[in-house]
Parts: sequence; structure tokens; C-alpha cells
Amino acid sequence: MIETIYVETEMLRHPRAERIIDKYKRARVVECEHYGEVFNRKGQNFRIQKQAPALILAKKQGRKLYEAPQDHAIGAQHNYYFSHLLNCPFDCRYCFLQGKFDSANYVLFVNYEDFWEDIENKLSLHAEPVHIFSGYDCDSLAFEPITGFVEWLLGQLVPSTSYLLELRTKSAQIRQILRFPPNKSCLVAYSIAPQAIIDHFEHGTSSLIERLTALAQLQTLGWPIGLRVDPLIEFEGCEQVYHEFFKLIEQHINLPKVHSITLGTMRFPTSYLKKIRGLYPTEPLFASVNTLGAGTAGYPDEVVNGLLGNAKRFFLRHLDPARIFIQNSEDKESER
Amino acid sequence: MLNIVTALNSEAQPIIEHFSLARLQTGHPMRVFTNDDIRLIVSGIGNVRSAASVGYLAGLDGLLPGSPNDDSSRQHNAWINVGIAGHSHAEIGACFTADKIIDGRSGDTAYPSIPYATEIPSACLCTVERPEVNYPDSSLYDMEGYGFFLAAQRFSSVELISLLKVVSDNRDNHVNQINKGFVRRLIENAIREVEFTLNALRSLNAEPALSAEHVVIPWENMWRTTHSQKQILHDMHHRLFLLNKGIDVALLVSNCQTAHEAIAALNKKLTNTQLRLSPTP
Repeated sequence: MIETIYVETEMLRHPRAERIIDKYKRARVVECEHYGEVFNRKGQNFRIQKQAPALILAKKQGRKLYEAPQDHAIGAQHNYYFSHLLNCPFDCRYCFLQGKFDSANYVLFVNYEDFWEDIENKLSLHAEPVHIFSGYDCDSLAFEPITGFVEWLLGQLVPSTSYLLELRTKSAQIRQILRFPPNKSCLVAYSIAPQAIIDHFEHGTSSLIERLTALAQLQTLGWPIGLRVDPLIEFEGCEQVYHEFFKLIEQHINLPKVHSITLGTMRFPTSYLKKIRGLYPTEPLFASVNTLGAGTAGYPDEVVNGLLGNAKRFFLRHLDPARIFIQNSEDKESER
Repeated sequence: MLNIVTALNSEAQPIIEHFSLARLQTGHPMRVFTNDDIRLIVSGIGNVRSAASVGYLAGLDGLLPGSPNDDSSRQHNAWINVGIAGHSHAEIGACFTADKIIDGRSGDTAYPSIPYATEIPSACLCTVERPEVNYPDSSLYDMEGYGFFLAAQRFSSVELISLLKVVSDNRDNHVNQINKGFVRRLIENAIREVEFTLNALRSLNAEPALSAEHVVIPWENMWRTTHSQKQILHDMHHRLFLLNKGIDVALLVSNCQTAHEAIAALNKKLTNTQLRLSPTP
């Protein structure tokens, strides 16, 4: 439940902002000049805010589209991402956003049209196919009932071979997508993990079975789908747990028809890890993660190779290696 | 620790009585009252006095302002400013939490968080240098809030700072009618809201604490140890403890001749110790 909505003065009368404010009749509405006054305040505590995050409605100024790191690519030469939303209603203990942002409040940029304009401008610059990623600083679907962003976006996406837009999520909430005919330019990618990992570390997310069921439904209808098996986490007995996890994927998904699989182990920029450990000093999840040098932290090589090798072997049984991507560099600090 | 700052004695008295606070006697230049987990200071009127009082209370704890962006070093004391305020039309005695503070002199703004569910309504608070008698908008008007908030932010995260204001004057009830007895009654009648806010801040502040089983090992007494080595050993010990509370770290390093060897031994153990998932989270 949202108790507080901050809204930029300029966006107070924006129809989208008005609609959202109207949904939360009991929320206090606080006007601010710029979202950064609230979101980037000094001395915030992410863990405390996460108990009752506020919603900030703002206008995204300047650039809306950023170059994605090349090692996040899934087959295209030109890769971009955008963030119409910062933060996520889920509470994944390993989430890098806890280290990236000082605030757990949600920022929703309501000027969707400006994002689309930037996307179209960027597409016009490239003759080769372009991949665009949503869900880098948020979950693409989890907030959909409030934002209506995906529904709006799908209304703009004319199927084309020149681009592919990825929605990434842990939410089985696909009602809004199903209102549209399958779109070859919209890839719905699910982050998936064994149920034991979900139970322990992915608080508030859909269960594995719910995610696989949603994926299967989308796939049957003809939507391109992707699997994001990231982060792979090492724990006692993980070989058996991952073995059963892969079997479950096999049962639900037509793997040879999957657009792409990405694999990665748990990793952080060291500055993020330091901050997250400070927020959760008693959390054992981060205890096996080491500083690896060059500003990165993760598992030792032998653990990384074991987890990735095991997963890759499984997926190679079902699909072309060119559609399996290892994304094991740490998430880069934002270029903004 | 919950720190309460009031401007006036008459604002403080009902709180002192309700929470059975006792005055700190020994040589304090300011009026400070305390019990086991609450401290109250009477600041006097105005931004500067309020900010100075926050600093004084923080100083009692031996606190120094931490790096503002460093959560691990940030102190977890909670702060609440309780006091009277004017409002154009709100009822006398109505109680509000501040959700935005404007410095009447500079126009600068600050945004206190309210990260808990509450029935107490919120409003914008404008801090002015002299009593506001025209009430130009629907803000609350006080004389301390902005100074209090800016100072408290130096010592705690914003989520742990709250401002609770009780309406003492409005267009129909002139500020000149306020007297000590009246202020005291207003705060007495708002004591439920004060208590609610203190409890909300107390529950937010429940910091995950390490188990008492986690003992600190005096590494520097075992070998010649640099500051950096001590930090590394402390960190590794902590991580091993989180992975397996049963590991006897002192035994693991008992044959080591140097801190360097001890680090290598703990590193090896860390590499070989896997995370255990409890059956039910």
C-alpha cells in the first residue's frame, strides 16, 4: 500500500499522475520541485524505506535511453536500456538496486511519450537490429496495475525485424500483455530461480511454477520469451536443487523455441556490496562473496565455473549455443 | 534511543510526566530529561536553539556525524520534535505530522519521511522567524522545525526523524491568546499521538543485530597485526560466523604464527564453507 505520493509540481496536472493519485485516495500527496529532492536526499536508509516505500511521480528530463553494456547483449550489436521506473515492489535480498540507490522509494516517470520518442530516434540511427531493455532499474511488470506502462508501450510497438524490446520480470501478472496479439518485437523475459531461492531471497515475487506457467502461456500464444537464470547461487546441496529446477523448466517450456537464455552468478560492484552488507549485517547470503579486484565482488572462479558450467550443459542439450549468453560481469554503475 | 526536542517547558512537561523522565542533574547547561530509552531536551524558541539542542543531545551519546551516505556508520537514534504550530483554519488541538518543511526565510525545503502507516494527518510545515499571524496558505507555521530537521539529519537517517505539531492558533484564535497552561493542555491531549509516533520510530529502528554468540576476537593480542589485517580478520570471522555459527575460529587459527597465516587459514575455510538454506525461511 502506498502511504505517500510525492509529485513534481510540473506533473501535478498530468493525466497519468492524476489517475494514479486518484487510485490511492488515502495516500498523502506531497508536492516537490524535482524528484531528486526526495529520492536523492542525503542520509536515507534503504532497508527502513523498503518497509513502506513512497511513490514519486516525476518527469524524466534529458536522455531517456542509455547504451547497455556490451556484455549484457543477447545477440544484437546495438543495445540500449531505459528506466521509466526506479525501484521495484519486490524485495530480493541480492538485488543490486539496494546498493545503487540510496532510496527504496519508487520513482515513476510519467512522460511515457518522451521515452518512445527517444527510442524511435535511436532506432532511426541504426541499419542493424537494435535491442532495447526495460526492467534494468525495476521489474517491467510488477507495477503494471499502477503504471499501465507496458499496456501503453505495447500500443506503440509495431512488429518489426529492426528492433526487439525486452520486458524483464519476476511477476506472473501478464493480464495486460494478453490483451494484445503476440508481438515479435516484444520479448518477455523471466528471471527464474529454484523455489528454495525464491522462498529465501526473492520476497514478494511470483513462485517458480507461476512464472513458468506464464512463460508457457506466452510462448504458446506466439510471444518471444527469454529465460534469465541469474543469479545462480551456491549453497549446500545446490547441485540437486538446480538439477530439479532444470527438469521443471524442461517440463514447462519448449526450450528449442526460446529466444535467449542468459546465465550469471551472484556478483556485485564492491561499493554496492559494501552498502548492502551494511543494510543487512546478519544476512549469510553475502558471506561467501569475495572481493575480486577491479571493483567487483563475486564467487571464486571454481564456484563460478561450476555453477555456470552445470547450467550451460543443461541448456545446450536443448538449444543452439548462439542463444545462450553468459553475463557474468558485475552490473555496471549507471552511466547517468 | 528516542530523542525528543521541544521548544517550551510547557510543551515538555506533559511528556516528561507521561514517560516518567527524570532531569539530568550534573552540570548540564540545558534542561535534559531521560529514562532508559527516551531523552528530552527543552531547546528554547527558534531554529538555531533547536538545532543546537539536537547537537547537544547527540553529543551526550558521544556521536559524531557519520559520512552522510554511509549507511553502515550512520547512527540509528530516532528524533522527534514535538510542539505547537499555527494554521489558517485547522481546529485548535489538531495534530499533524510534517511531510514537507519550508524554511520561511530562504524558501529552502526538506522532506521528512513517514515510512509507517499512521492515522495522524500530515501537512507542510513552514518555519518562520516570528509568529505568523496572517497564515497565507494552508501550511502549519512554527519556529523550530526546519532547524531541528537539518540538525537531526546530521546524526540519523531521515526515516527516523519526525515532527509532530499541535495546532495552537488559527485565524479565529489569535496567537496572543496562547499561555503556558493552554500549551500544556494541548500537548497533554496529544500524548497518544506522541506515544504512537515514538513507537513507530522505535519499531522502524529495529536494527538486525548480531547474535550474542558472535564474540569479538582481540586479534591484535594474538600477533603483531596492522589495522588493515585486523579489519580483514574481523570481516572473515564475521562471514564465517554467518555461514556456520558452530565454527570455532579461534581454534582454526591456533597454529598460525602470523596474522598473514591466519588470514590465509580463514580464507581457505571460507572458500570451503557453503551457505546453508534453512528448511523454511
